[in-house]
Amino acid sequence: MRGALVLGVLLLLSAAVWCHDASPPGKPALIGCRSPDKETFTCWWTPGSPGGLPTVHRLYYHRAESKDVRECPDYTSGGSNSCYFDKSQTTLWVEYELTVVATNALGNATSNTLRIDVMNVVRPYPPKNVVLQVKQSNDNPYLFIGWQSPLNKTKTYGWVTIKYQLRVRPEKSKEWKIYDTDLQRNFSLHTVDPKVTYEVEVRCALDHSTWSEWSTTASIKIPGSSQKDRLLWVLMLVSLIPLLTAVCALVVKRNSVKQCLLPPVPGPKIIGVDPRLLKSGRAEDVVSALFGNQKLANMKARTEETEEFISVSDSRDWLLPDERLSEKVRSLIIPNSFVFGAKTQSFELEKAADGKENPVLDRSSSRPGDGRTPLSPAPELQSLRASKDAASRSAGQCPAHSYVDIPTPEDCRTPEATSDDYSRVKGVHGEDVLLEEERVPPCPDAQIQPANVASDYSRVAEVNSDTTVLLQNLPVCKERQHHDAGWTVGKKPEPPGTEVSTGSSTQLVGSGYVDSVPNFC
Amino acid sequence: MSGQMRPACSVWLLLVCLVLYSRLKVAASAPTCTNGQAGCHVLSLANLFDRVIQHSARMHGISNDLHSEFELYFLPSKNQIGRVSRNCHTSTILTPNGKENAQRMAREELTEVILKLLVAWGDPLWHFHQSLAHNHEFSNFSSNKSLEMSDMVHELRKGVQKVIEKMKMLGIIGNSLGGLGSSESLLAPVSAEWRLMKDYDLLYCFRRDSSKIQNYLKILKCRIVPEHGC
Repeated sequence: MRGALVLGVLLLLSAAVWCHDASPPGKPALIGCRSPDKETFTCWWTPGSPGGLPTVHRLYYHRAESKDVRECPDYTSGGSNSCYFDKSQTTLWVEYELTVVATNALGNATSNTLRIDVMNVVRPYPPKNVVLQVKQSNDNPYLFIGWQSPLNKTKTYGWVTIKYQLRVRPEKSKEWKIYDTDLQRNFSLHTVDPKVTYEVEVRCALDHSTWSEWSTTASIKIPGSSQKDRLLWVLMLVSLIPLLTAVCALVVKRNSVKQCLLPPVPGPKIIGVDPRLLKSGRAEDVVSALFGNQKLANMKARTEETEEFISVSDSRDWLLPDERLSEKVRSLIIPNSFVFGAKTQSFELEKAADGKENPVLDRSSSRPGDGRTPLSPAPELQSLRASKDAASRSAGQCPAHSYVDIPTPEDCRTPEATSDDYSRVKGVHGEDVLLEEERVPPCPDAQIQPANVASDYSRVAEVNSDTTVLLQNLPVCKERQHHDAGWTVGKKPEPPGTEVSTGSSTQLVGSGYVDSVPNFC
Repeated sequence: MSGQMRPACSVWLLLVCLVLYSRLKVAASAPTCTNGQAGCHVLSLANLFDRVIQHSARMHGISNDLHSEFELYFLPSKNQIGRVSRNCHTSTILTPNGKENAQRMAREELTEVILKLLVAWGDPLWHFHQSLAHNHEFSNFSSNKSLEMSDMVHELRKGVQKVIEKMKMLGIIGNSLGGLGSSESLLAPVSAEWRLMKDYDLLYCFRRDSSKIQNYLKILKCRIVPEHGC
């Protein structure tokens, strides 16, 4: 008895335990239906809580007008928890009412009723087999996209019209670009960039139905460069090689190239004169620059002479007592040479015995007993130089007969045939060069004029210092007075500094030089 | 002076004559065009069908849009069980409910169905537009669409009638179809019911019917003017 009771209790307990797991099924829910081709449709549901016991789901439907309830014809073609209606079961423009019932041993559960019109649930599947190809059109790549209809049948009898839409984007972009292709099953995209990967998706719709899902993404990379591009690059590189070699050659031989393109312009150079020494400004340097240790070349043409440069003015006002000026002018020596006429005068400017280092024209002198190399007495031109020291040295030796302050030796004779344009130097007094008073010869017959009298010369009236020579304003002869009036270069009161600069004889041009432009050899 | 004027005048006259002549020629070629006449720009049946189908597609699109807008306004539950199935005033017209049914139907019958539908919706849509225009609840956008819809129904009806004439002329269909006169008689039995429909139901019904019209026309075209894919 007790044993039976215990067994009964145990059974009850086990039954209770077992029964707790089982329950009537939960209420299923109809998700929705879909017609991919306007001829068939499928509906899906989700089952409710399982209830522990094997559950069977059944779908019942009836059309809106009729009360005739039918069960789903096909539970398998659409997958699990689905009901597939084939052509014969599908009626368009009619509302269906669908219900799903879940049944198990303990009970059943009914879902909510779903009312649908098949035409309102039309939604095709996405297009199939999206194909991407890169093609060339006039050497420009373009993307050719092709796909297939999701429907298997090709003949639709006009019932179904599919329109397509595709979207493209470069791989890294986030924005799609959408293109409509209507009924076409291919599309050519020309706005593609090389070396970029593009992603393409396609979808479709049946007339006014909802759009399908986007197809699987197809991607392709546009090739970077075509054959033509590569050839172009090769050609460019090849053409660069000679250019590079030319540049290298230029760099290596830049000096010679420089020589060729920019030949050095010969600076003004006086033979025998070292311009660097002139710049230094010291008298001794100047002298050495001018005379150096070399023989001066013989001058040939008179036109190559350089005239001695003495600042001249026809106005006493211009005379500058400036020490600096005189100093500088003193150091400015322009060698020149002149023809003494038939006879050559030789003279000598030498270093004074007092040791002043006044480099002398080595070539000079006819003075005997001098250690210097005498100037050749030939009728060639000799360059000479006037300097203060030389002037001072020569003082008392020879009366200055010549135009420049060149002391003449004792036996020197001033040539009688000096032109009227020159003045004889009477003597040198200190820093002054005294010139002979010029006789004004009576004017010869107007027609007969000395050939060598140039109208552009003036007579020197006075020499103020060794740097200043005052010119006569008086004509050489009475009749020629008017000619000389034009020659007043010396009048110009230039500021003193400008006309005096060591080493540059041209500066004194403005202050009045007597003869033609000195030519520097 | 007069000598210069004369050639100018004549040139001017010539130009005017040419212009008038060309105009006349154009005008002359437009209206009457019996088949086979040379120089006549005749629309083929296929072209007519295409135009009509495009028109019906457009009409269906507008009805779809309007219906969606109304759905937002009224927010009815799509799955209402208690909702009485809508009785459209055109439900008396027997229409094929599928592709096969439509294909099995005779051409004349199908054409007649199309025409009946178009005729049935002429007045209701016009009144619908009127009610929308006077009701300030609805936007101008909706009102304009309803007007467009109403106009389109009339245009489409005319277009379909032209197609029928063409088909009759080509001997594709018999003369059993009535002309314009009979369309009025078609309208009579259903005339009263649409006034009872609410706007939203009216739109629902029209959306359905416009879809029918579009599909029937396409089927008809494929049967009468075969082309690739038909």
